[in-house]
Amino acid sequence: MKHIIYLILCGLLLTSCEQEIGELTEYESPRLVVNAMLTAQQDEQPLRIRMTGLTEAVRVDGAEVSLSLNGTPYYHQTTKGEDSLVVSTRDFVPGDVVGVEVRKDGMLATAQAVVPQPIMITGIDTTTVMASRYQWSNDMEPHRRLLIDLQQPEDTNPDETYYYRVEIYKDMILPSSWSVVDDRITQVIYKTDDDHQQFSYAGDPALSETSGLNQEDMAVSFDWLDGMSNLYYVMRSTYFEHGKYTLRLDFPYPFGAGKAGWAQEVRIRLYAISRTEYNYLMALSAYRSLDSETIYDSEPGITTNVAGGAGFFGVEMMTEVTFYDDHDIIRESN
Amino acid sequence: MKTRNLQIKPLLMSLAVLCMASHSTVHAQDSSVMGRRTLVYGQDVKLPKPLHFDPTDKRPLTTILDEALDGTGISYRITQSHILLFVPKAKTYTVYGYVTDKESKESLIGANVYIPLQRSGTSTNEYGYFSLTLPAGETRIETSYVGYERDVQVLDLHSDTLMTISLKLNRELGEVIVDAERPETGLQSSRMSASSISVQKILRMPALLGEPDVIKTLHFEPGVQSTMSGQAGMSVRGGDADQNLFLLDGMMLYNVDHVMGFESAFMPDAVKHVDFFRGSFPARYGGRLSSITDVRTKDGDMQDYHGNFSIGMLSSHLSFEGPLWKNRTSFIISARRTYADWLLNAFKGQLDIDLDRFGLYFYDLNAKVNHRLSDNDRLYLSFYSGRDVIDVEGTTGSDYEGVKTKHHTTSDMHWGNTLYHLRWNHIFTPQLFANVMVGYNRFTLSSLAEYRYNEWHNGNQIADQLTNLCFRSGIDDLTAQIDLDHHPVLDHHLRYGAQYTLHQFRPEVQSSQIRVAQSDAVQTDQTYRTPSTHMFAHEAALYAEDDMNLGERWQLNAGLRAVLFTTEGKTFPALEPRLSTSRVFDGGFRAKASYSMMHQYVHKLTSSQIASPSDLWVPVTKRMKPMSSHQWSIGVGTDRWKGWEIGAETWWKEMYDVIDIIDGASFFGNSKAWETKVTSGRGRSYGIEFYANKTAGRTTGAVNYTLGKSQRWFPDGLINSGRTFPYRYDRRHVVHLVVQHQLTDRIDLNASWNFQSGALVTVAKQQTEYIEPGDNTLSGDYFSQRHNYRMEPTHQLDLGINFHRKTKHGERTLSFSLMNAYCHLNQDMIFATMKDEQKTIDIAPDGRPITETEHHRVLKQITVIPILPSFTYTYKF
Repeated sequence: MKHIIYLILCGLLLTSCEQEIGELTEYESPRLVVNAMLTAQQDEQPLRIRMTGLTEAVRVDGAEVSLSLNGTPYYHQTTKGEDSLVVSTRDFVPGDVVGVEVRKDGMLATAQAVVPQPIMITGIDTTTVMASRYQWSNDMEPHRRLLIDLQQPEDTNPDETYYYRVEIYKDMILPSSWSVVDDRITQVIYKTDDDHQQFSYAGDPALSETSGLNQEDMAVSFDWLDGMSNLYYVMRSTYFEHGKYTLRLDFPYPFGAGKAGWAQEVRIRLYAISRTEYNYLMALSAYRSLDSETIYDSEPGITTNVAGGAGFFGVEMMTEVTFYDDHDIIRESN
Repeated sequence: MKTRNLQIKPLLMSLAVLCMASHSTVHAQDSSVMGRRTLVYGQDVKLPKPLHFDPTDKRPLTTILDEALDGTGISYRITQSHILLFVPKAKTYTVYGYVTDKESKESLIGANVYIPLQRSGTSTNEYGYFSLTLPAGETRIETSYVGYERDVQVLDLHSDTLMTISLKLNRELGEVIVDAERPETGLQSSRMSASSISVQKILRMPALLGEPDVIKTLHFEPGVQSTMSGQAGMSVRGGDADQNLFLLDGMMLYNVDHVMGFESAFMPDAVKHVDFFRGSFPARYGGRLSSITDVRTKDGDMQDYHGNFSIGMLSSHLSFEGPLWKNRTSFIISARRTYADWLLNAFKGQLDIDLDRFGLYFYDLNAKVNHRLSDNDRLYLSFYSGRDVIDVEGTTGSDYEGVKTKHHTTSDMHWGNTLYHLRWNHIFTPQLFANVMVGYNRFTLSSLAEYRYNEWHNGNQIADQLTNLCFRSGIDDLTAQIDLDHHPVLDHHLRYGAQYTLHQFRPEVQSSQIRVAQSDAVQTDQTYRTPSTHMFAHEAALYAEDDMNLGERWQLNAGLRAVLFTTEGKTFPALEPRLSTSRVFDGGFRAKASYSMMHQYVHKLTSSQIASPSDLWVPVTKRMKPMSSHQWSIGVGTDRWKGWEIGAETWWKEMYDVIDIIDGASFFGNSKAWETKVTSGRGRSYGIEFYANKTAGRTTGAVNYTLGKSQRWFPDGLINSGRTFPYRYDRRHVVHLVVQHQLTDRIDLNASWNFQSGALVTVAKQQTEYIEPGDNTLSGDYFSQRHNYRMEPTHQLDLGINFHRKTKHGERTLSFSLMNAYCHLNQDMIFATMKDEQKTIDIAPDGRPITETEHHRVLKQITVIPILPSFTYTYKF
């Protein structure tokens, strides 16, 4: 729809003038940027400290960084202009309150996050579906569909909304080599920046909630009707019934997979995240999906939960399952 | 003591006596005629001479009293112990009926009916009806209406009297006097922050592309600002654009914009009267926080056929009205259509438009039939349809060595309102008028995109593929309403009634079709459809208000509105008190104060500053509470200088549960899961308005200045990290000036100028780093806070001139307008962008310059209307 609206606006603005009105000189003092998306119960997790700048964010030297766990000092470090600090989250358990405090030249940035309850993966099933891989194409191709059963903890409050994030990694096994050569996917609903994570969420109601179109029902897609892409695969528990939900993810058959057969090792990660992180990632999705210079979006901005500064500080709780999908064909070929 | 020779004795007065003789003076006399009776009378009894009872007079007491009181107008009653003297109350009768235009019999809304003897009066309601209960006897009734000659009638009132007062249009533009005691709007009403806009004023305003616009005329009211130059959207007293309620003949309209907000849906040709309330809301209105605009359309001429048409640069209008049955049934039909599409198609070669068809237009159609069933009953049947259409079609293909291909793309998008309503007006008693209405309104947005591919080999079709996708959304409202207008006594005007609306919201429905045929054999033919997401809501309201005179100096309007809004199984009850009062001081000065509580149950989801068809109205849900507001106002004003109204009003508005889009979210093209993209918080706006209106003479106009402030605060931190921030319409200074001058009988000039402090926008003044999952980072804009940049003030002068000429069959008018006459490049939109510059830092040994790239952040502005002349030709017949 946005292309149509752009078209109308362009028509209406035929008489309008656009002009440069000069360099942005209005002074705005720089702010400390605290960025961390910590995964609980890990040995090494990055924490990045930056300072906002007129043309780019800059590294910071001499900032005092302190972490607290349930109000007790947990970590302290002074930055030396490094890319990121490394912290251990081994001791974090669900319900813990993790705080961060950064001081530099009188500036103070603070943030707090609660370690969320993890979600359980109780089952995985696979099937094959036919779907169109490209826009404007009616060519149906076989896709491997993963059906992943999720279960919230028993003490979950049914009246509350919980937020999750999905990551999928897979190693493709072709009869002749351990490689993935599928690089032709261009459809927006596929994650294309990492070959190991190619999958479509369009068949899943929860993941496609914000995308404007659920391809399971629609079969075709017009990019201008797609809203914002769910670039970080975040979802809400609104679609859960009695604490359960089955994720549907479709993987294209790899290029070169044919009679020769194939198999894959799939690693599924489900992260329990906070509403703040959900909003942050949605905002980042919107920012990346839509033109950041758009004149139509009246309220740009990306959520920050860092008081006195900028950035995002959050703690995630990860659940990971790996399984081996040995496709029938490979067995036949073997 | 009133009589000298009466002996006063202690007396126990009965309750009956107290009731009949207020402020009683007690007199007693002992005589044989009176026995032991006491003479009692009140201060209202003015005896021309003292009563004297002769003890020797043997005539009956009644005879003596009849003789003594003959001609005094004083009556008496004899009881066992008293002789009660009193002045019998005058019998009252009701004068009621309609005020109409003398020629067309069109009812006039807000006409003033004034009784000089009583120093009181009333004004006609939305249907032109009035009712006055007056003492029997000779009564002088003066009726006036802006733009009409005053009518004076003297009645000998001895029974309830039905009148139709016909006013003659004043073509001389002479003196206008408004002298009713209780009009609905204006300085002399008990209300404040309310005004009536005449059609003449709308038609004479300078117009964008020659299109006079109802809503843009409202932009020149105090406390009102346009959301952007040329846009019909408005912010009233610091509120959002979706906090304004627009009613067409009492029915609510949702998206009242055409062409992305550059025109409104109200056709001036069809409009009779506009009432605009920005505070002090009558109890019969509700559902929005900031303003109510009640647009009433014409009923149609009962006497003669006539009409008008106009041809402008953007559109043409046609309006025609007349009797179907003289003095019984009339009709009016008005239509307009823009023709940008005809022009674009005609000149697409020159404009290098590579499309088969480029349709971009809107149309409006108003039709109404009005039938007078009897003196006491009228029936109205109305229809309105307004639609915007964008219809684009393009074909490409190739033909090479017997293989021919064709790609055909169609995109068709249309949206608008369709409204029907049936109204019955009935006079139950001279004091009680009823309006009963049922109506249906449907707003729809429909979009169809289709792609078709055909391939022929040597003339034989071997492929025919069709793919289409349809998107629809809409709202259906079914409304039933009864309004009672009750004038029990002269000093009270009661209005009460009930309203019910069944809302059906259809936020998004999508369907698609794939059809593949090869060599005439259909291989695939499938249709897909998303599940329906209809939401139903019930809105019911009861209201009552009393507009009353409390003595000669005080007026009070007190009302209460009770609302129930039910959706998703949850009911939101609300009680909304409304109060306004006015006091007259010597010298024509008035002081006023008011309080209003309002609730709003629907919201418009939009990500754009420009009205877009993709903007969706959604109701409150079980998780989103209704918005509410308290508004207090006080003001003073005077009309002591003939033809002038001068005053000031100050307001304070507290808003609760106002919703706004959270940082980073967007509704652009998708409203799914909209609840996750908004949050609710607090709002506050306050300010002061100064105004001066010149309402009489050859030169009329208005100037007003608003000093205001508007803020929002979202404690959950999802917007602006929970910090208070100025709202996007927080413009500190707003000045409006409108001047309309009748140069000669054939030429009138008009000019309008407005000045507004710059709007607030969010601009990325710095860059930051964003973190993504997996420790990836992303450089991007840093928005330090919402609305961190105030644009330059905007100002614009619009000029217009109308040339009128009488012709054999009517009158023709040539109108010329010049928008933004001095071509001020207003900052309507602004954004920051990166600009790279190559800077020479050294010279290489071979003489080539060594450069490096310097990054700069620059601002760009967009001006929507630099300067725009237009003309319109209108012919009235």
